[in-house]
Amino acid sequence: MSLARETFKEITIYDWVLLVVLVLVSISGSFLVRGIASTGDTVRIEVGGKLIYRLSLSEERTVEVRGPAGITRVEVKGGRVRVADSPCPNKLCVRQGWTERGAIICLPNRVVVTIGGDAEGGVDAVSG
Amino acid sequence: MPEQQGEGMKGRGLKRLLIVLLAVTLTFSSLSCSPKKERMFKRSEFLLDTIVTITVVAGSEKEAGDAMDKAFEEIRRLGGLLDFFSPESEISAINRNAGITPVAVSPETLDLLERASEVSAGSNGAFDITVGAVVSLYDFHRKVRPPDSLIRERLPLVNFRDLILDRSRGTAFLRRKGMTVDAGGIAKGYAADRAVEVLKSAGISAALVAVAGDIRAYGSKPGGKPWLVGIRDPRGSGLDDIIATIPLRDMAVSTSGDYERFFIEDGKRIHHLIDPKTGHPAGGVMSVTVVGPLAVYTDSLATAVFISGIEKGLKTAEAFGYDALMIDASGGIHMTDALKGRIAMLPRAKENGRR
Repeated sequence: MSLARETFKEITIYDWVLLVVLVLVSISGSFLVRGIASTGDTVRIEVGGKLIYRLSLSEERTVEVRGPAGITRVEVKGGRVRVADSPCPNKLCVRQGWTERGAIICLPNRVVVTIGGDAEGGVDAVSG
Repeated sequence: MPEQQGEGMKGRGLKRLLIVLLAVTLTFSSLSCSPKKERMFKRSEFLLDTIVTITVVAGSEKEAGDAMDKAFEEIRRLGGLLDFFSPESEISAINRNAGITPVAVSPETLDLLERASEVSAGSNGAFDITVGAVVSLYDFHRKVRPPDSLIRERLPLVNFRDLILDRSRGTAFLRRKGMTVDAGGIAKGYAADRAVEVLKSAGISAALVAVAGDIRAYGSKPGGKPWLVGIRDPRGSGLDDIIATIPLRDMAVSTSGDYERFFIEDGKRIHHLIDPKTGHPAGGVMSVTVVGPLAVYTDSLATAVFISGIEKGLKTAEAFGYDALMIDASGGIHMTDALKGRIAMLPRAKENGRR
């Protein structure tokens, strides 16, 4: 008897039930996370840690920011954001395409586009 | 024999399934165990001539809103008692009756003035609750710096020892006419502390109260993370420009800097942090951040530490059991030993020296 057949023989109906339950759990889990993750309404565009633009996600707009590598063009449209053009070599940011939540980061040009509610650069308040 | 083996395997399979199902059920019930999912709620209002932002962790919008209403109301009430410019405030009543008669004040005003006197004495007058007689000569909007002769004339009216507080009678009295108390350097911190007390008694388990840059935190964010407070870069472009971050649980933090109210005259920065002994802006420091349990102390100590200068300043903070981060005039970073490792300096801070 081969090892594969041995292993297969050990799988019982209960293992199949377990598999189905786990699949259901992981699917519902991903829905839960979607519910928790904020669908913020502002777009922040930072270059080298400095805030350049704070835009509304609901307003259609195209802006250009200058980073160390050149000009990055950011488009906001229909509640989504994308980097339309970038001077960086690998164009990962452009390839990320239209994004609804989270961030688009272009390391070579130091451009960070964050989509979120009222994130003040990740801190809860500023003393100063 | 082979059949028996099969039976045994089925039994194991059932057991395994039951254990895993139990584990899954437990995981889910623990997730929903907190009866309502705790979330963060944030609201800002313009009070005390500045912006006050309260963030609370609560199970529902209503619970958060009710508690925040009470906290904002408390800050508004304190503003009414402590406003230097409002003739109806208790502070104005004390100032009007300087050299005339003791004035009966509320327990809150008395409490604040007692703490102010404590910091005035403990900092050897670097913070002085009566400095208003001289500071009021400056007009930072219109870029007016008073002549030295006028400063010298007013200086004798600055002395915190001439503020007489009587706990048993509940009165405050300035000994000499022309003296003033100005709670501006301590009221914001005091208000943050009071707001926290109100939120606590409203049943809120965690919150962050920011009265401009005077911030008091308690509890943790949902998920158990501490509150994260950024410290402004004194030569940055705005509030978004921070040089450091510090995680806080049950702690307060305040920052005083030469960038808040100032103008430049003959290349010299004339800012609002006036040394009560000279009547001139204190030199040598760009900004001071003080960290410790109560905002009433971090607020007033930030001024005291700034005016004391680097060496004395750090000692003053430590004498109160508080910590301080100081940025000197050339951008150098100094801090009390206990703060090292707790504060995360951002890379940009290194560039400050060159600005």
